[in-house]
Amino acid sequence: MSKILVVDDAKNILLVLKMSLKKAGYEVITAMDGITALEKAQEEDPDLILLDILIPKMNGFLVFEALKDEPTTAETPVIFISAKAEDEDLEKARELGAADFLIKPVKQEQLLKNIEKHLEGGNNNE
Amino acid sequence: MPDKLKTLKGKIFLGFLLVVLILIMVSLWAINNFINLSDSINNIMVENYQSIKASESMIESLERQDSAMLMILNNHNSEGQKTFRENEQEFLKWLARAEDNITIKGESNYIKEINSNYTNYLELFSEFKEIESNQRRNFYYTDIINNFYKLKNSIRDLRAINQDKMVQAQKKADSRANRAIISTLAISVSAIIVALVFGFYLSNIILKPIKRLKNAVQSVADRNFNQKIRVKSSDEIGELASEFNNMIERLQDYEKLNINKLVEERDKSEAIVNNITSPLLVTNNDNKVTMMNQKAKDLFDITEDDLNIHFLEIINNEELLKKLNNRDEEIDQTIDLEIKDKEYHFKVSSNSVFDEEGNRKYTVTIMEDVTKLKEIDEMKSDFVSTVSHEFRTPLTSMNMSLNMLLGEDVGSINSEQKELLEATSEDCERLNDLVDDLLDLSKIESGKIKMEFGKTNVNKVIESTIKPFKNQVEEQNIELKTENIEKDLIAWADSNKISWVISNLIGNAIRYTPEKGKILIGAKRVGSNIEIYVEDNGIGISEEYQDSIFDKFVRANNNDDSASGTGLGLAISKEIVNAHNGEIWVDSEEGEGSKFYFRIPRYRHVV
Repeated sequence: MSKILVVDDAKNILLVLKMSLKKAGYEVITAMDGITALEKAQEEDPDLILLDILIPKMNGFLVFEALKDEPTTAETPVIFISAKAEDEDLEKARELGAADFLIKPVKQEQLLKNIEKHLEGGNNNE
Repeated sequence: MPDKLKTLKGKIFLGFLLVVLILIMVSLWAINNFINLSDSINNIMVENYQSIKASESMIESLERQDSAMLMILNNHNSEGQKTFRENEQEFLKWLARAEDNITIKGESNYIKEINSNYTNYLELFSEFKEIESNQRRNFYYTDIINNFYKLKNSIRDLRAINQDKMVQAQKKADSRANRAIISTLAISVSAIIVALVFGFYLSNIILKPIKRLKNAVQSVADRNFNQKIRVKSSDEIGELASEFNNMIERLQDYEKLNINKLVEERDKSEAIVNNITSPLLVTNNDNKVTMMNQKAKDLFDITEDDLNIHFLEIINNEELLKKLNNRDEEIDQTIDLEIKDKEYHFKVSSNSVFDEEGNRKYTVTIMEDVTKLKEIDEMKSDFVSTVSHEFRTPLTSMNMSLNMLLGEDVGSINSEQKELLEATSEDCERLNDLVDDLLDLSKIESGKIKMEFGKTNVNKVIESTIKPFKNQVEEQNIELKTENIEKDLIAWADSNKISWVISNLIGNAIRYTPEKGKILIGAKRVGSNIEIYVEDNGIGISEEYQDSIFDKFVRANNNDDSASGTGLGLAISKEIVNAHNGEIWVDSEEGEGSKFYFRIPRYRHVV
């Protein structure tokens, strides 16, 4: 069972995503700010990370860079999921090497399809 | 001067009186001369001619008496004596006349001599008669003939003296006549001179004030109302002049009144112009600035001295000049000016005043400071953007929750619950669309979406845009097809955005077209543009909405519940077409359908 870390400061989003992903058969861990996200990523070593950009303490881009610096999470695929989706944000995500960029509101099927795709291409922890 | 003579009539009358008097004087003088001349001639006649005639007659009768003596000598005694007696009478008669007409000094002496000689002659004749006839011849030739010649000579002397006198008198008369001619001439000439002088004086008297009056009238005609005539005379011209002065005074008052009014009006206009809070400037046909209000002067940092100079010399801004002379309503009339390191935005609107021939006389331009508005607009865009972002997160969770519920991932639901959840999901979807459109619009408005212009094949764009609608129109039983599309329509455009516009127009058409309706899409070249239309035979748009449907959140025929658009589609379409320097409009009749057109530039007309 693949483990997915969901990082978002909106607790309803966390709730829905958690429920939805669990139903889809994933193990879900959550974090509501950047620092917690980094800690959880180190502790739990997830197979995939859904990362919001506008989160407290440390924004998504900084979290992403920190994840890439740690050997445990350097190879973990990260999908940005954000309401803030200006051209420059998309550009930055591409430059950093994000697996994908999903713009809120995200449809459930789309999300699951994306996750599946990157888990297959990502690691072989299954 | 008596009152009567003060008038012009009096003056003229006086002048003529003078001339008439001079004429009478000249006439009298001439008559006097004629009388003198006539006297002289008379004198000659009376004084000399009578004496001469008497002398001649005396000589004649003396000759006869002599002849009578010769008759007696030749023995015709009685006849001779008779002739002698007759001629003695005659002689004495003429002698008496001569005696009565002694006019010349010395004449009486000659008369006395004649008298004594004749007495002598008569005595000799008496002797002659007494003596014997044979001695008579001798007596006659010795005594009488001598006496006869003596007497004759004395008569001749009398005649001569009178003849001399006559010549003298004639000469005297001649010189008198000459004098008369000269004096008459002199008097006539002086009379003429007096008449001329008077005439000149009179015409001066009359004409001078008239001339002054004329000059004054002329200068009044030239609107110089300070002209007054100094009135000296109290004649008719004087009256006219004083009436004229009255008139001028009234004209002055009138002008003053008018000027006051004008000044008042001007002050009023100036006050209005200066109170206009937007910069206002007036330019003439040569683009010289003729007027500015205080705001404009402050804005461009210029003074009154800079007026009447060419626009570009005082305000070096060609773009602004172009805009204030612009008659094309399509062109954006806003301008950005940097003043004292601060960015200002102005909306330029100008109005021209034309003369009768349609030439522009001057242009009044108002520059409305829309900096605040633009700032507010930007704030609004930012606000919309922020709000839209904030909407997205809760929308995401709502959407996903609803999907999970509807998908019965978290337990089964009954049909009523399902219906409610579906309704909620539908509206959630609509909110999503609204947020998307709002974001798009605010991005386009604020220029955040960059147009990616390129060579665009319009035929292909239309084709690919129509495709995704195929299923939808089939479901709704609407016919969707292209017609009259010219081949090889190449535009200079952002193909994605144009596709979006066409797609939006088709979406609208479907939304407002009932089942079995028809939607037609066409495209053709029009000048340097390509015109694309989307026509439907749906419910149409009432005339009152046709202008405003391109504004935000305007939806015509709002009562139709099936209309599920956000009300932003046409506003976004308009922004996109405008960004292409194109235009978009609609032809529609309520109940008949609508035809939306838009134009974008052709490729080879841009590149």
